[in-house]
Amino acid sequence: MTDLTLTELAAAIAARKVSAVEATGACLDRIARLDGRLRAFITLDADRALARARALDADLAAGRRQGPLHGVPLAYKDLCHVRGLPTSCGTKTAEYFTSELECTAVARLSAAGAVTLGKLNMSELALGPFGDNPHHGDAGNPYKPGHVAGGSSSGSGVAVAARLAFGALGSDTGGSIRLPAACCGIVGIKPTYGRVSRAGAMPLSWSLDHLGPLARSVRDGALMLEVVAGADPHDATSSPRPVGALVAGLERSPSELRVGLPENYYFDGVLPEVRAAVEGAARTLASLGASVRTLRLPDPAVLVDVASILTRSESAAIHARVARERPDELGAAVRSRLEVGFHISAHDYLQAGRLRARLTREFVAEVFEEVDAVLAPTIPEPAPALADVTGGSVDEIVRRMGRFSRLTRPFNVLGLPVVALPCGFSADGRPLSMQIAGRPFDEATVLRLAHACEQAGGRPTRPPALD
Amino acid sequence: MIQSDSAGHRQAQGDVAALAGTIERAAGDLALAEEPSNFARALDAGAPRD
Repeated sequence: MTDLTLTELAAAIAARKVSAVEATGACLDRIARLDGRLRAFITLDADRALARARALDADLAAGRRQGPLHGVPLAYKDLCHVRGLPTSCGTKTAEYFTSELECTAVARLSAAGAVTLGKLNMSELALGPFGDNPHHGDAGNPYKPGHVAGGSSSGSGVAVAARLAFGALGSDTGGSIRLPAACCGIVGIKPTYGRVSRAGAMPLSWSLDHLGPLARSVRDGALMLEVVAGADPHDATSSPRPVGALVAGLERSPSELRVGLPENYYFDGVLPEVRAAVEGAARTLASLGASVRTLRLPDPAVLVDVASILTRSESAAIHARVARERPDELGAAVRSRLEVGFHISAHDYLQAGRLRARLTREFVAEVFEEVDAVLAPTIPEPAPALADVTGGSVDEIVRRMGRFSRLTRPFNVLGLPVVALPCGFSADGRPLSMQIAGRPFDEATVLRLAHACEQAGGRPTRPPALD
Repeated sequence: MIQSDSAGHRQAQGDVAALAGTIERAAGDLALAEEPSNFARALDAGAPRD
């Protein structure tokens, strides 16, 4: 049963072929069997999940379906506040983040009928692209033991890929949804800035934070996004723009769409097998009728520097207390990254914010005049060995972090919607991934292109061999 | 300020100096009226016409 997609499970439950209790029990059994080595969960809420599943089954028997996710077991990155559960944010402190409000995205998924399995592992304070964690254990790559799961939403990537949950929420400040999706061979969606409320989730950088789904198919991710997106009075940055019918639009042909492959930056230093896989996806889209061309993007390297100034300033301000009062509780790399933020001047921070506005306006005007979406690799290499990225000096580790997230970070500065999705496997069985970015608030187009690629490639992902 | 070893402190200051240099060069010709909130306007203006 756990090999069903979220969409398939929701349909099976609605048709009363499967119960919510059976689906939840199947996930809990799998978690009991596998999570000792995968370390996807920080907090498991088994009793409440089963109680909720029983209540949902009773509702359905009485003719009441809560919504499109009725009875579907999900799990959430441990920076989303869920009523009754602690929120460690990957730190040593069990209740590092508290909120009077439940995370809006979680509340919307629950209102749509989802069952909460628990809270998922993550990089400490969401500051790390590899998914290692000194307090809760390193999340394990389901496809390749000893290799990174990707971060910072590491547990979200692992839980979904390993069939411990049917979908998950993550957060993405510099790639933290897309990197674990890429390493774990699943779909991750970073929506447009403002599309999904961040209320009730730990902030890392209010200018660059996004919440979004990780799922095993584009359709699953689109369904989750449809549920969580939209204006929220608790998040002043959330957009009132209508979300639209994302799932219903997936089957539209991509034939009139124009797709651009970057000539600069995005393929620099990328492994040949990654490049070949992304170019293969471009050929697939062309065979489906899309117009594919190469184009030169406004320099993404500047965007990465803007991202660094904004993230480091804001994260140092937000997490100043732990950094100042309990620095020994933090891992060395996290401490080092926060420390940089204390040295950035107000002048540089404001210039970065002003520059971001201009660069976004220019990018949108120049690039989307030529194409409807940009297709690029998500990560420059498939999930590296954990030992290779966590060894050496703090300075070396921080620089490796920057290299690994260099392809995702520009899109956080630009605030554009991006879908990361699998595009094959390396010769030794590690997932390869590409990302498709589109116009602001045009999630529909990037999801449509991603769905077309996925369908042309057959089954969304090859399940990891864990049993 | 985090009290850390002096090497870490120097490294942080060095990292900031490099970042600030890049930002300063790129921001040199920003219009006087440019402000961070124009980012949200850029997203709205770039959205598909409904």
